[in-house]
Amino acid sequence: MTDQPTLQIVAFCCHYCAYAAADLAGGLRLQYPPSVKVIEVPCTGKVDVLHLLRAFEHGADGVIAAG
Amino acid sequence: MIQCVRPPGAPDYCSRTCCTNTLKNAIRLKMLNPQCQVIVLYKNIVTYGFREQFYTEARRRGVIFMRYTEEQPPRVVPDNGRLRVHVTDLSLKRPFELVADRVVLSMSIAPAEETASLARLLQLPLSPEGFFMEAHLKMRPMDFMQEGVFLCGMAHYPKFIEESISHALAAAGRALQVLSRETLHVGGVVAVVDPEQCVGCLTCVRTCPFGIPTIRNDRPGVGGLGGSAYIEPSLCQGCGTCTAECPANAIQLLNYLDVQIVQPVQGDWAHGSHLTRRQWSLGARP
Ligand code: SF4
Ligand code: SF4
Repeated sequence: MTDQPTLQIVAFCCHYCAYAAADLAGGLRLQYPPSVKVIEVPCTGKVDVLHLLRAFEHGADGVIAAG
Repeated sequence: MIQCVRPPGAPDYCSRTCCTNTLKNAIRLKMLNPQCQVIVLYKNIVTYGFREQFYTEARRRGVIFMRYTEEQPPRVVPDNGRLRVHVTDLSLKRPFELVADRVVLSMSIAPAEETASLARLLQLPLSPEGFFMEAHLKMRPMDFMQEGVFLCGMAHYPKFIEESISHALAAAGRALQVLSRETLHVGGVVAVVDPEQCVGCLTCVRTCPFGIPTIRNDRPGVGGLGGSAYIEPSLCQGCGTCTAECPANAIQLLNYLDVQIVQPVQGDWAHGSHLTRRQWSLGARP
């Protein structure tokens, strides 16, 4: 694992479900790679194609909209 | 007295109040005339809480209870001005034929006829049984998800009068919270249209799940032409769907401005200078 390059993932998380789940994961001390960057949105409907493309433009390897 | 009588096609649910009312009537008949024979045909007696005392009292006064099953419902046959009731008792597993002067039916309580049309008019949710559905069963039983609309009593589901009164008091309290204030504060997360950029394409009007945006002629759009979209801040739920869909990018969601969402993404990934939306909003820069 260690010699593999770390993939940079941007996660757009809905405030009410995925972000709350990420919060809960933190509360439970569950580990996830620091290369996953969580960005809270009020609803996955808020995620604009431009936001996804902007993430790729700035070096993200993957984008996930979770909600 | 026959319980749980459901017209064909009606949804199957417990109307909650019928068992108690049947027992109340049975006890009253026995009080007026102890010789009167009262037989209750039931599937399940639901006398919850202290109403269970009515059940005990009815049995003490000699009311007979016979349990029937869904598969073998009682049949009522007219016979020379009287009524014959055929029923199979579940405990004795035997058919009975009862001759009755009166047969009293406990029919299911259906939602009021206008419920569905009113719900459509106000865009309110209905339960599978066709009653109005509250925002949260335990936390907000008198509220709808829609702001400023409240419910109480039998519009919600079949209730006893004291339950309806408590519910109505709660709903009135909620309404007073709105009415007693000169001005209302709304959440800061609302969508705002920049008329200078809006082309009046109606995309936001069609995508908003709550139907909030409208096109207003008194607000000229891009280049001072036509009308532009207007989003009433006190109604907007702040979901941001319209901001993502607007082809002209004319809508911004306060507290979730594009720049607030995109800037964190632009941090330097490899060196960990990624910022959260909050850090960015508080003035930190990558
Ligand atoms: S989607 Fe954008 S451009 Fe179209 S009407 Fe709404 S605000 Fe105006
Ligand atoms: S933010 Fe959501 S609720 Fe508000 S106007 Fe836009 S789509 Fe409708």
